[in-house]
Amino acid sequence: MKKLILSALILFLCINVFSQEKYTVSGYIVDKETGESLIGVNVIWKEKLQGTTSNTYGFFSLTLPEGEVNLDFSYIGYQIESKTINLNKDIKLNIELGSSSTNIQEVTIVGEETVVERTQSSIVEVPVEQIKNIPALLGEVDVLKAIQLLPGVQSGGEGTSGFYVRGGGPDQNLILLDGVPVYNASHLFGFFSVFNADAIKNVRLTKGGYPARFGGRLSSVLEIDMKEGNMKKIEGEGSIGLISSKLTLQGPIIKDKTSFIISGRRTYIDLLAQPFIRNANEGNPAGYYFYDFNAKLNHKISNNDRLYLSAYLGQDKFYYTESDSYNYVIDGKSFEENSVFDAGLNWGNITSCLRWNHLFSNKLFANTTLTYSKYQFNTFFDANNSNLAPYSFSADTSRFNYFSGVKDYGAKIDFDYLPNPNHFIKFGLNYVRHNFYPGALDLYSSTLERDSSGVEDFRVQIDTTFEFSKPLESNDAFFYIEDDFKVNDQLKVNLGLHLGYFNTSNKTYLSFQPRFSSRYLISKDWSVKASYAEMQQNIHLLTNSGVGLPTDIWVPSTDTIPPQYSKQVAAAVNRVLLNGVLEVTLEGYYKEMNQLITLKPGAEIIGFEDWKNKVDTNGIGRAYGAELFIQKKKGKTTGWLGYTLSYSERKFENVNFGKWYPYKYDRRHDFSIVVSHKVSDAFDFSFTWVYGTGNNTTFVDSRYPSVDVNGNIYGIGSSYVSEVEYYPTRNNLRLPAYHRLDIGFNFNKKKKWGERTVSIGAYNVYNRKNPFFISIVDQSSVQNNTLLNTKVVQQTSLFPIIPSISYKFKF
Amino acid sequence: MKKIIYILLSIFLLFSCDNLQTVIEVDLPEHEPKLVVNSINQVGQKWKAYVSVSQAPLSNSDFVFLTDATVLIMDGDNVVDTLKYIESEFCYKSDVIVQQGADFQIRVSHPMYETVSAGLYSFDRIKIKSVDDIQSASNGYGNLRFSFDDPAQTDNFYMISIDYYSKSSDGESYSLYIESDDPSIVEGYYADSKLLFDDKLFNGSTKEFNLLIDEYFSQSEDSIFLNLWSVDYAFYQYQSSLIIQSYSGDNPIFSAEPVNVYNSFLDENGLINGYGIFAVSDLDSVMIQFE
Repeated sequence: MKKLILSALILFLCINVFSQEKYTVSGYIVDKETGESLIGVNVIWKEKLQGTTSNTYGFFSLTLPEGEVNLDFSYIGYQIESKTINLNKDIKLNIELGSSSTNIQEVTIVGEETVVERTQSSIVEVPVEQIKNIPALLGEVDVLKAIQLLPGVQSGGEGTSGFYVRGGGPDQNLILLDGVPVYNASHLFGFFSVFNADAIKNVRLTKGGYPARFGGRLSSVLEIDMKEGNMKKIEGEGSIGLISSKLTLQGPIIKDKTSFIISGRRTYIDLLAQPFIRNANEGNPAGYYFYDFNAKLNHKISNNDRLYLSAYLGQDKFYYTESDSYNYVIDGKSFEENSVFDAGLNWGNITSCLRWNHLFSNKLFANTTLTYSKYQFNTFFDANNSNLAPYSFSADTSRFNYFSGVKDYGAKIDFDYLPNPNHFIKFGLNYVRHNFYPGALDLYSSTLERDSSGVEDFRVQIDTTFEFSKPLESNDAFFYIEDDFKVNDQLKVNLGLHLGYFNTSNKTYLSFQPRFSSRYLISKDWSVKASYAEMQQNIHLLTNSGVGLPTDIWVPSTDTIPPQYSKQVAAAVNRVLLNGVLEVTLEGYYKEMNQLITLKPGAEIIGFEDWKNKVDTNGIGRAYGAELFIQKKKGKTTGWLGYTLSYSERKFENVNFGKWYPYKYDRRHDFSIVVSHKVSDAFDFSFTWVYGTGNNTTFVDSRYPSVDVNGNIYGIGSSYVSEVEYYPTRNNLRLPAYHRLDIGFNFNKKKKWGERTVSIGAYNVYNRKNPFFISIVDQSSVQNNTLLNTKVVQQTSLFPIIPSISYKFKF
Repeated sequence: MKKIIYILLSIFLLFSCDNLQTVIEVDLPEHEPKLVVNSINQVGQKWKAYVSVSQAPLSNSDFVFLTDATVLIMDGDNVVDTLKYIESEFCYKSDVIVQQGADFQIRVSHPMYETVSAGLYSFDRIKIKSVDDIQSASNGYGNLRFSFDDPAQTDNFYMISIDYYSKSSDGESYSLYIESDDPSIVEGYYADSKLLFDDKLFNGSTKEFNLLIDEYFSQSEDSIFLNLWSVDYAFYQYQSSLIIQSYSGDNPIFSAEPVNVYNSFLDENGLINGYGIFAVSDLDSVMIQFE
C-alpha cells in the first residue's frame, strides 16, 4: 500500500511538474543612483540556477514555472538584489541596483557573466572607469588606446589610435557609437580617438565568433554605448589638461522619465601658442585644434516605450591665414593693395540616431533605429586680392576645395525574444543607403573691375566641380537570426545566420554568412569554447599608412571590385581561479580573407585619378595565432596581462611578384600588463607596460644606376649617378621592438561641492626611443683627419618621456 | 605634490631635449652584387649598353662601371656583334645599326658575376599621320595639333617631344615644355621634357593630340621638330616605374609603398639574376611650320 501511495505521489508530482503553468517575469534593471540601464546583469533563479541576462537597454525576461521563485540580480560592481516573488501570473519587475562601491578599483574588466559562462569566445568588455584610470598620452584618456592593450589587438604605430585585430586591416573594424558606424575615429592623425570617455557607458570588443546581428567588417566589432543621462539628479564632471579640456553635464529633465547628457571637449594648444605662432609668422595666425560634442536625450514614453536621441559632432582643423596690405602714394595719388589667403585641412564626423524601444510583450522586445553618419575630409585655399586706385577698383577671388567623404542613411529593427530560460533569440533587419564621394574638386575664380564712372564688370572665370572619382551610391541590407540556447547544463550554443544584400553599380552581391559559437562547461570553473564565423565586408578603406590619416578614403564594392570575405575559426579554454578573482583565457584562432584590395604600388590616395584605377584586387590573406589573457577582477589591485603570438600575411597578383609577403602589422609577439592599485580613498596609481615585436617595413636591398629616356646615365663618371633602389619583397625588414612604460597617479579629495582629482602621469617613463620609421641617411665623420661619408640607417622616434597633469572634477 | 610635479618636469626637460633620431643597426642580408646592364636603343642608331655592378644599400662607394665585360647582341643563336667599350662614353657600343626584331637578345658576361641576358619585345613602328602648323595662343604659348593611327588589338606605347634647333647656338637642340589636357597624356609620365603614354584610351583609332607648347623659340631663327617615338613594352614599363619610384618619396607617413622598377634580366625560372633594361624604340620626326 505504501508503495502504491508513494508511486501515486511520485506520479502526481511528475505530472504536476510537466504540466505546470509558466509565467514570465520581466522588466528593466537600472543603476539606483543614476537611473542608467545596466547591460548584462545576471538574473538567476536560485533554485534551478537557470537565468538570463539584461540586454543592451537593461531589459530582461525570464519564463519560469508557477510558484514561489527566488531571483538574484547580480552585476559586478553592484550589490546583489534578491527578490522573492509568487509567480502566479506574468509580472513586471523593475530593479534598481546600488553600487557596492563607488571606488573604481572595484570595477572589473569583464562584466555580466563570467568568461567561463558566456557562450561566445573572443569578446572583451572594458569598463569605462578602468579606461579612465589607464595612464594616457598627454593625459588624454583614450578608448581606442585602451583597446590596443588587449591581446589580439595591435596598434598601427607609435601613439596612434588605429588598431588591428587578429591580422586584419584598419578598415576591418566596425566601430559603432550607439549603433551608428563611425568611419574615422581619429583626431590629430590618429594620436587621439574621437571618443570622449566621460560620455561613454560601455565598451565591448568582439574579435571573433561574431553573433549573427553583426556584419559588414571582417575583423572586429567595437561597440561603444553612450551614457543615457542621470534620471535622478543633475551631475557633471570635467577636466582641464595639458592640451584639452572637457565638460560633461547630465541630469533629469523630468525626474525618472526624461534625461539628458551633453559632453564637449576642445583642444586649445592653438590658442595658447597663437602669440608665438603670430610672432614667427609675420602676425598671421595658424594652428590646429579639434573638438568633440556628444548629446543624448532619453525619454520614457510609457512602461513599454522609450525613446533615445543621440548625436555626435567632431572636427579637426588645421588653419593658416596670411594677409597683406600695402598703401602707397604716387604723384600725390593713393593706391591700396590687399590680399588675404586662407588655407586649411579639415576632417570630421557627424553621427546621429533616433531609437525607439518597444515591448510587444513580456517576452518580445524591439528596438527600432534610424541613423545618419557622415565623414568628410577637405583641403582648401581661398585667395582674395583687391587693388584700389584713384579712379578704379579691381578684385579677384580664387577658391580651391578638394573633398572626399561618405554619408550613410540607415534604418534597422532588432528583436529580442525570450520564450523560456533556455533560449534567447535575436532577429532583425538592417538597411543602409551609402553615398560615397571619393574625390571631387570645387574650383571658383572671379574678377570684379569698377572704373572711374562706377561701372562694374564682374566675371566668373570658373565655377565648377570636377569629380575625379564619380560619386557612388549603394544599398546595403541584411537580415539575421540567432539563438543563444542551452542544450544541457554543460553545453550552450549560439547559432545564427546573417544574410547579406549589397547592391551597387548595377551589381548585386548576396551573402550567406553562418555563425556558430559554443561553450562547454567542464566544471563551474572551467569551460572550453569553439566558434566559426563567415563575414563579408562591402566597403573598403584606401590607405597607405597605418596612422588613420584623414586622407584615407572609404569606397564601396563595385561591379569590378567585389566585397571582401573572411572565415574565422577560434577555440578557447577559460578558467576562473581563486573563487573568481582571476579569469584566465587561452584562445587560438585561424582566419582566411579573400577579395582584399590594396593600393597599387606607387599610387597616392589624393589625386586626380579615379580611385578604381589605383587599386589591386583579388588579394588574399591569412592570420593565425594564440592569445593569453589573465585578469584580476577584485581587490585593491586589479588589472590584466595579455600576450599574443600571431602571424599575418598577404598575397596580391601585382604586388611583391605575386608571392606571399608579411603584412605590415605582422608582429610576432605582443605583450601588455595593466595594473591599478588603490592605496587609499585619497590616492591610487596605475601603470602599463607594453612590448611588441617591431612592425615590418619595406627596405631596399640593392642599388644600381638608372638610365633615362634618352638611353643615358645621368652623372656617369661622377659620384652622383642617378640610381634605382631594388626591394626584393614587400615588408622584408623588421623594425626594432617596441616597448614602453606609462604611469599615473591620482590624488583624490572630496569637497563640499563634489570631488576633485589631480592626475599626474608620464608616458614612456624610461624614455625608450621606439621606432616610428627608418630611413637611410648620409653621415659625415672625421677619422684620422680624413672626412668619411657613410650611409647609415637612422631611426626616427616620436615620443620621448612625456609627463602630464590634469585636474578633474565631479559634482 | 608640488615636489612630484617639479621632479616630473625636470625629467621631462632632461629627456625631451634628447635627440629623437638615432642611428641603429639593422640585420640586413649579405648583398650579392649582380651585373647591371642598361641598354636603351633606337632603330637606326648603334646598339649601346652600360655595364655596371649593383651595390649594397649602405655602400657609399661609387658605382663601378665594368670595362672588361663581354657584351653580345644575338639574333637567335647567332652573334650579331660584340660591343666594344668606348672609354670616353663609359659604355659599350656596336658598329651594327639597330633593327627591329623580337629575336634580338643581349648577353653580358663577366668572370666575377653571373651571366645575364634579355630579349626584346616586338612593337609597331608608328608614323605621324598629320601635323598642323603651330598657332599662337595667348600668354606666350602655341597650339600644336597632330595625329597618328594606333594599331588595333595590340598594346602600344609612345613618347613625344618637341625640340627646337637654335641657329644662334650652332644648331644646339632644346626641348620645349609641353602641356596637354588630353587624358592619355594626363595619365602618362613626364621625363626630361618628353611625355610617355600608352594607348589604353584610344586603342585602334586615329588619335589626335592638341598640345600647348611654350613659345620661347624664335620663329625666324629656329627649327621646330615634333618627335614621336614608338617604344616597346620594356621601355615603357621601365621608365614609368622609374618615375613612380622617384615620386614615391621618402616620407614614410604620407608616401606610397615603395615601387620596384621594371627589370629585363630574369633567369629561366623567372628569378632576377641581374638588373637593368634592354629596350628599343623607333623615332618619327617631322619639322613644323608656323601659321
